[in-house]
Amino acid sequence: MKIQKAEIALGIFSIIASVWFILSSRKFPESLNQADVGPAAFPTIISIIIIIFSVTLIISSFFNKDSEDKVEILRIKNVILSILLLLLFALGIPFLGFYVAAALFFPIMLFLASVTNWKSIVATTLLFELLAFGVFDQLLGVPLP
Amino acid sequence: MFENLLSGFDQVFQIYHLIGLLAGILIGYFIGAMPGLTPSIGIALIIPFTFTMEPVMAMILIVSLYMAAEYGGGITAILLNAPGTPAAAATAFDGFELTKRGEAGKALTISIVASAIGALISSILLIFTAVPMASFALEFGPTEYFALAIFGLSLVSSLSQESLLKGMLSMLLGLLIITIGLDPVMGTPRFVFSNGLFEGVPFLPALIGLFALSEVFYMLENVKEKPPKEEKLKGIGAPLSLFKKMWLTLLRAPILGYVIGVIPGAGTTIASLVSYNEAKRVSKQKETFGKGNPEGIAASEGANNAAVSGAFAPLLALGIPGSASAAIIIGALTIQGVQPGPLLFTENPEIPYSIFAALLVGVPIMAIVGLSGVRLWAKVVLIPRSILAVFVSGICVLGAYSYSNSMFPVWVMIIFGIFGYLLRKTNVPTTPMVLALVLGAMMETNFRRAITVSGGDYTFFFHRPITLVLLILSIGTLLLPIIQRFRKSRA
Repeated sequence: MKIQKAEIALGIFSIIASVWFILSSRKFPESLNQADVGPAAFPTIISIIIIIFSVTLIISSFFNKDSEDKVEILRIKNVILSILLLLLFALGIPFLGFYVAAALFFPIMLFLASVTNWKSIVATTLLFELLAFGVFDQLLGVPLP
Repeated sequence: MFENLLSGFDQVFQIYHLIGLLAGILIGYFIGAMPGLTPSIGIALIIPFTFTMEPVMAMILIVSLYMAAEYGGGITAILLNAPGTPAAAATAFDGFELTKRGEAGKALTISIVASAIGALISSILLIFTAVPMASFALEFGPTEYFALAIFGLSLVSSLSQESLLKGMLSMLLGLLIITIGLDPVMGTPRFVFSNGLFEGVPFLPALIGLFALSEVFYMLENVKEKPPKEEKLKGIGAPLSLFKKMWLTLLRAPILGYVIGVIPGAGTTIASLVSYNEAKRVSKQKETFGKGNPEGIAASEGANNAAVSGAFAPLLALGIPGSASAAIIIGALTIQGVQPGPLLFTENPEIPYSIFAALLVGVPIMAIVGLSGVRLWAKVVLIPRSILAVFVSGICVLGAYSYSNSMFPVWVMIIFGIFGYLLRKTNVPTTPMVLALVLGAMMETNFRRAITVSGGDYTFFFHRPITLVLLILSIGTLLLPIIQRFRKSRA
């Protein structure tokens, strides 16, 4: 993808987010103190400035059509799958417990990252489980679910 | 004073206290290196063990832990782009770049040497200036804090390397994110669509996501890339000539860090960011910052360690906690039946002077522990990228979870990881966003407080000298890099 398209997408995302913040800010109550600007002022002002900068970014991207810069994501499938796996890992922790979720997440994630040697997969998974239990749970008292 | 200081050294050199000092340093070193565990969490964890100790021993343990944890944060920042503490974020800018070039050992050595020099200089400054500096800190009211936040945010122009427009956008998005949570003045919930957001977006998980998790995705893109060759480390890990070259940075960073550390609420993160920017501003090789310039590491690490000593000035002299860590230390002192404040130096002189002595004696011990670990830590980068990426993703989850022992920070970390990755792909720098996440709340809260105090008079900001100086400095800091870039493009 050309960098200009990514910049335009970023600009549009920022504008949409800012509009949402402005609209949500309108529901905030007025300040009881006359001098105070109130809870809506800062988010509104920042959102307006973001819109101005985003529009500038979009316009400058149009003028910068000749740029050869590209947004390249190598192994895009790997990146998307690893994000999904990470989300599943986080979702699984409360239900399966940290150690079981990690024991499932690590081998799949390692396999996805092209680690095919099963000894490396088992050793890495065990090392992580040991770190979580020995250091975080036992030594530092972090109660892992 | 010297008599009391000698008595403080006498206390620290007792074998029982020396063991406590070493234990504190080792625990702090370890906690700091774990992403998600901040120095304040470390201090809170150790306090129950100090209940049965005598006050001097308790303080020696806590102070040495605090000092070493601030250094330890730089280790994972350098090796994995995962800052162990928020203040180590600036260390990652150049530290991780050096690691990518196969110079992790060198980066780690610079980090420990700068940390030790920072801790040493600031401890000496603390001994001689604790009381007057604490009084200076009292001069800071809402307008000064607002101006300090503006000054910090003005660093955006020098931290946005390629495009100021993108840097500003990144900072503004950060400022918008920081408005999520309870309104700091009225307590109205703002944009709170989940219960976890009432206290705002948790900063450290966001930082782990922006830096470390986004790096994991980069690593997964390039899993076939071979790890750098083993670095042959000579001597302490970096040539002495390198330190000679950057003596000014090694000296400036602790002074800046100490002064910023004294100001309650400013803290180690602002100290390291301001120091980093200052090193870059005065450097003749500005363009090399963020690309593996050793001075960037020295500036950040020297300042964040110095800010630790700085935080002790208002704590001991006035009983004012300038940070979460300082608040917990005051709690620990109170548990011991010691009341910090103006009378501490006359009623319990053994406490402040033992702390001073512990800081000074702890420096060489911290340096030895740090330097002996360099060769071992440097081997981390030899692990194949594929394994490292997966391991770091697991540590990110562990670190975020430990932040508040709940899953909410884990979700925040993942969202910021994906967001950070997409921003980096679009060449949008994430550092200005970090700047905004650190300073945004300080800016808004103090602006509104100042306006309320002044009864709506906006000229109030220009009537206070410190505020005025900081605002003028902010304009200079913001515009200078822009003017320099403009001149360069015309030349």
